[in-house]
Amino acid sequence: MAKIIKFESKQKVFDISGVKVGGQPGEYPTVLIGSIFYDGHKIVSDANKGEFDRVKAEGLIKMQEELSDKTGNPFILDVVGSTVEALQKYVEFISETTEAPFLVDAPSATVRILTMKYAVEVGLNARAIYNSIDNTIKQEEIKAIKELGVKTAVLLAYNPRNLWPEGRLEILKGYTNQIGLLEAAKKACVKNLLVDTVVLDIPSIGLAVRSIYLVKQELGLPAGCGPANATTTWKKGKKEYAPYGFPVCNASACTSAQIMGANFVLYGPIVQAEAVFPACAMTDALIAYNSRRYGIGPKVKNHPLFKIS
Amino acid sequence: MEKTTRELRRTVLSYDVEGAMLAAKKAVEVGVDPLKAIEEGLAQGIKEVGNKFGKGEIFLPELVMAAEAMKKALEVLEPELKRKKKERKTLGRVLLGTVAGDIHSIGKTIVAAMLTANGFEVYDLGEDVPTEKFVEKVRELKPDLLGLSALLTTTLPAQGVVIETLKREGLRKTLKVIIGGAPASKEWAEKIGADGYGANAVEAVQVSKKLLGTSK
Repeated sequence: MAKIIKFESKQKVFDISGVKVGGQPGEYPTVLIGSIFYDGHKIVSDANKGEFDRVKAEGLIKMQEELSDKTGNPFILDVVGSTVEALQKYVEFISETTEAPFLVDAPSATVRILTMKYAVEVGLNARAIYNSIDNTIKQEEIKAIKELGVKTAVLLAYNPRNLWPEGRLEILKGYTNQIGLLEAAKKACVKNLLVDTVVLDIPSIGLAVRSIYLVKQELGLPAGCGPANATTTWKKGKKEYAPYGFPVCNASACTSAQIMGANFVLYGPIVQAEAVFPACAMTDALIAYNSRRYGIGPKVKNHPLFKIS
Repeated sequence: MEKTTRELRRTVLSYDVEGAMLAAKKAVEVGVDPLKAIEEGLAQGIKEVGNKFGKGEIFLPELVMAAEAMKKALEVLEPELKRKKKERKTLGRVLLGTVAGDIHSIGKTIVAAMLTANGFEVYDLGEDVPTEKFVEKVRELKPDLLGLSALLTTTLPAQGVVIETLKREGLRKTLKVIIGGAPASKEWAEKIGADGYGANAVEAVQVSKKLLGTSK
């Protein structure tokens, strides 16, 4: 058994408005990404118009900030909206409330593009992350991303024709009649790329974390996944194992990704920060401590290893 | 069973999308009856996959890939079916799609595959389908059942809009409508005047059978 995970290819590290993402396991803390204003988030009163409880939203963000300070794990906000009006309002609010980077996350390309346009116009380009470039991307979207000068994007490695880990690499590289996500990003002139290896259901978290290993080993890009895609819809975990089933299982799913080298995890509803930050910080610490014996130490003073005592 | 038909079943059972497409092309090339290729090959394969999924032996990745394999093979075999003027003996014609503003496809694609496996003739309109397109296709294809998928609370109302529009256009009388998607529910189905709701692909098939069984 390997003493530690050390990837053979050179590992890229991107600085997204002060948050470093990437590297060998043990070098940089895992970036924890919590979702806010997602579909069904109770603080949202009108998801079309983007009306929400500002006090509660601010409280959630501050709670995440405090946990980040306490543990040493940087954070990014996953800002979710399904209309341009709503997503722009959310982005405006986020920019006033925190200095953290954020994902511009919408299911529709039009909503993503128009909100990114707004973010660029108000000077938030360095903090705004386009989520995401996927297998359905069209030339118009590539062109729009390029024209906006998007700096950072998530590549969603979903490949319906092959959902095994090798298939995630395949969609990144492309195949006959299917543009690879790497090529799409290159055409769109996006420099900072974060690979999301896609979680569909609970068992598939295993495939996603294995894919993180493959992506980092072969491409050296920062990689991670969103276990919460599965844990949040896992009825048994929520009902039969309540009240601890969901938060504990969600946090442990996040740590399983870290063990395979994840540089970031999308941990689900921001309120889960309370369970996820301590679990992921502890895991970062034990990975870094072991790695240090083999010459790969933390590259930041604020690493969870130095905050664990 | 003919060799190519066996191969079609095998490719679906082994989640081999590329292989399914090649086997379908081969079937056309060697002149296999497209009806047999679909019913004894693809549909048989997806039915077995569905059963395994129902028993908890396989999971979403396998189901999605099997559905994708079937979809790609059907893209080759269905035009051949039309060309040869053959018609599938089906339980009914189903039109499916994810409503406007919503690009989620996984659940809908699985439902399409499971309905096909269970003997329905399925037309999948894809994702982000405008209401007008649903109306146009209902008029053109005259389906027995329309399935509307929505995965977001913000796109859920579009299911109601489609139903209302169909009513206004006089297309709702003989057409049954089922809905599905994470934020949908039985109560929501009743509220918007849908005939049924399926919480998952297995339920969608059951509800569809029930609705068409009583309506035909």
